[in-house]
Amino acid sequence: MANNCDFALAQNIAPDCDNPQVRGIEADGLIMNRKDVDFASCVKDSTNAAIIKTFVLKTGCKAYDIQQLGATPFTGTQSAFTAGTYRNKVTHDVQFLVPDHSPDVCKNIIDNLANGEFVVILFNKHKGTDGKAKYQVYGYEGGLRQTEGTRDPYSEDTDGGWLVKLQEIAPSSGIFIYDTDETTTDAAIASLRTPQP
Amino acid sequence: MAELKLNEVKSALEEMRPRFDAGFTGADKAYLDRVYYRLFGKEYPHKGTGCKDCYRDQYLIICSTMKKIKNLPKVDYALKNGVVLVIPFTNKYYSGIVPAEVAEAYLAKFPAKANLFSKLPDDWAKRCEKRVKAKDAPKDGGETDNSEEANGEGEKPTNETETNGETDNNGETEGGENEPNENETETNGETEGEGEK
Repeated sequence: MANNCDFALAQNIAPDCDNPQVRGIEADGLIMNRKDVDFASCVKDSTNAAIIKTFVLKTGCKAYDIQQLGATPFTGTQSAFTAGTYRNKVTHDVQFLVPDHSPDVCKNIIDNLANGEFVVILFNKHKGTDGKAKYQVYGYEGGLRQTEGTRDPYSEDTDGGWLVKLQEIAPSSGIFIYDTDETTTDAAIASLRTPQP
Repeated sequence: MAELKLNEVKSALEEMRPRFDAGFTGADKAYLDRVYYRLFGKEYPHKGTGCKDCYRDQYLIICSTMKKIKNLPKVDYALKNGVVLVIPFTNKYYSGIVPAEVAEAYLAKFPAKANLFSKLPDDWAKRCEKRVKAKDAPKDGGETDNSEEANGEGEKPTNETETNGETDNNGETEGGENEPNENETETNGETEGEGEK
């Protein structure tokens, strides 16, 4: 069996002055049930395993929008090094507000978030070269599971909505979706939301 | 997910009519999205329309359209969500519902990619073979937009230069029945069906 776990640096650590790093995440994201992802049909880039060229959902499945308000959408989302016994990993946290507390939301969202496993796609403000860093996937490897979920009816911040945190412990520091060019990738991401005919 | 049938859609619309004023449930909205997409081959433009409850408008449009048609538009080929079918060496790509001539020309060249389709006719392989025989090999990896392509279904040619959101490409005609998506021209900026880079 080939051993490709070299863990050797392969690039200079230096700022990209043509595409300077930009902080933040766009206000719109996508969430889907992890069991809806058609992993068998997903294709990773042959030269960079951090890029998924084709990210596919199973027949009849779709992604759902997450729309956030405020100047720092998805605040609380972060990635951090985690020491492991045999291999070190990265803990990815995705935090968002469910700005509603109603029967439909409780039944269709909150109860399911508490027990399910999910994949989230967030749109980085930093697009990187050719837009390759635009769409970052969380939960593709280990799956996102809820670790926190709070609702304070008198909260000034949430106005009584649910603040939810999902967490994944994964071997990769980041997985991105990119196919051919930015326009094609945009179309692929948009198609995740469409209902099946 | 079960195939949408005209009578069942009509019954479902009738069943949700009492909730028109009070507000549709999440399940109602998902169903309306699915029916709208099936009828018009694109999503309803919820964003940027300024309407307070777009689902009421969407419901009315669907109901009025359903009165005019005898059958739901036929969909032979649809891609799984997340898949973008790029026609090699052109600037054309498709997602969601794909015109039969495009899908068959593509599958004739890349039959292994059938797993990327959420909807395929049982005899797709025969159809592809027939199409190839009728026109030797499709040029440029699958783009065949000649309206004389004969597969015996009377498909209408797709406008290859349409921009995103103006798609009507799910309109395989069924014996001349009314096609709601033929006269739908509004744009919503979404990418489904066909786009041009």
